[in-house]
Amino acid sequence: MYWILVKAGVFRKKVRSLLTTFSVIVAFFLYGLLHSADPLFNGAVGEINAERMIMMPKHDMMFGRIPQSHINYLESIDSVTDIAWIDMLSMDINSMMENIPIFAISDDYFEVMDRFKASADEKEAFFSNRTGALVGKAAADIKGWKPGDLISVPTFSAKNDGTNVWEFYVEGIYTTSPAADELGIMVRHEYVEEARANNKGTVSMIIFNLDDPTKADQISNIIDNNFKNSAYATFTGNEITLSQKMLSDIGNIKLIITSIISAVFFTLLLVTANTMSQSVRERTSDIAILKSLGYKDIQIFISILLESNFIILIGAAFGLGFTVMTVPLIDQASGGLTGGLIVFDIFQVLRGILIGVLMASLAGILPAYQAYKLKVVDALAKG
Amino acid sequence: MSEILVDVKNLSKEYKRGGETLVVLDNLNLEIPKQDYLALMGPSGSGKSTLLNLIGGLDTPSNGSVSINGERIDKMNSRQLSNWRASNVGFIFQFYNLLPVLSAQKNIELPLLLTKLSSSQRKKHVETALSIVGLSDRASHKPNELSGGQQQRVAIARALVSDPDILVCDEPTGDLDRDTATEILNLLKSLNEDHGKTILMVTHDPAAAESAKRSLHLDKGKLIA
Repeated sequence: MYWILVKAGVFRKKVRSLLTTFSVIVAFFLYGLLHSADPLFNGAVGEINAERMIMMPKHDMMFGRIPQSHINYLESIDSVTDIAWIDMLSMDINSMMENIPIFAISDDYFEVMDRFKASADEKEAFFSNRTGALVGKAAADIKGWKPGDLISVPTFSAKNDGTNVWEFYVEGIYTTSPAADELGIMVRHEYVEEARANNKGTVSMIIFNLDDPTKADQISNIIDNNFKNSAYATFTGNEITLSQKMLSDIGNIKLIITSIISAVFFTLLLVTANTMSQSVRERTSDIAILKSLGYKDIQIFISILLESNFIILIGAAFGLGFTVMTVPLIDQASGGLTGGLIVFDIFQVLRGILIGVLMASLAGILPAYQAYKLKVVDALAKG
Repeated sequence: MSEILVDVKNLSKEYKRGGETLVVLDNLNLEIPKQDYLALMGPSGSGKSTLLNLIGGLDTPSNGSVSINGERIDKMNSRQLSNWRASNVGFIFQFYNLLPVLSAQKNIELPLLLTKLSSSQRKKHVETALSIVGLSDRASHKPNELSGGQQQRVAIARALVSDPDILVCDEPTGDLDRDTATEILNLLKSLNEDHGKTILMVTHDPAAAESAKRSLHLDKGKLIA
């Protein structure tokens, strides 16, 4: 019964229904694309985990530095088991877009950061060559690098000889998850420390494990309190906390995105509610006839709500469907760099559908109530 | 005398307009036997349509009673009236009021969607109604593909399809040319004579009133003949 009533309402003005549906499609497509980056803002992507601890400069996580002597302090803490460090050679954001960033790693980096994988042979070759490099798979794919290649990368880090172009021999390819972390060149910290002119004795971050992961908060507080008043204050936390903190340093992107989506949906709500109201006003006599045939007020109310749901859910289905199809294309276009960072899964689709139902109900409730209250005699008298 | 189908007693209907009370029907009494075909005539504002709406269960009286087949419909609430209308009365309006998106067949099927009939049973009922109004070959046509007369036939089939006791017609030929109006009147007459339907018709048209078995005139809310 309700399908015929919904059909009679939706298809009465085909162009209007089509345009409304189209606006819903666009809104949900936008929603889908923006929300597909959720894992990035939640920090928990790929094999990033809550057990691996990282110590970073408190005030400039992207480009700040902490002294290597902090490692000595970490070694004095009983619960700290393995320690490694990494140092990014200075680059500005534009250089990072054009060139691949270089990370100087300590010798036991692969043991601590076990989500970075390279074959035993490649690692052996790497650690046997002072100017050796392991390049990320994504970086290798983009630049066409392969083992044996000599690569030159310009940086802001001057060498002892006054130049700032660093050269390394590719000894292997590393992989990791999330794939965005494959956009890098790992070189040996020992060599970089010796060859650079500035920033000697400093690192970008120190990574360590704990004998008991439940102590993470306690140990973090102890470490950060220790360096609180130092020129090199630290922010210590697990990998997830740190990735979230780094993003919040860039800006509250998630809040901006949520605001955009909210504005889009609010506008859509008004547009749909207005369309539904107009549609119900135009169908006053149809509704009166249905009531004269014996249709109850509540049945008319439900049919208008279903009509609103139909338009919005069809639009939402297409919008979300396009998102599901588009996200892999974006991933493909990025050379796999967004893998794991931009995801649109079934839970996000279900959440989108729930939002659709809620919006449709809000948009339809007032027109449905108007139809519910419509008096047959008055409507027929108006013609 | 045939059994009484519609029994209206001391019926009044008043409307409040600002501080004024407008009496549309004034202590009216009317009996309509089963299988009667009654034309209600009178000037505009005489209360014809109001009386029709009260008998059809679309409105409730200010005073008095309306019994149809022994049931006091003036005592029913909105929900009960909806249920009652679905199976006891068929409406035919001047402007047909078909849903434009639906085919003739689907328009006629609308009242049956409220019943427990299966799809095949509904289809059978619709085919019968279409055949009675002579539109079996137009079942799949939408209202805008039909002439005014054909649309009114579809509206009549919709009114008939749930096999109600009484057909309530408000100016059923008011929007039709003379020839088409005659066809519709003949159809109504046939429904009354051959199918035993009780018909109450409001009309301004004396020719339409002549096709009924009897006529009554309303003026200022009172029956005068």
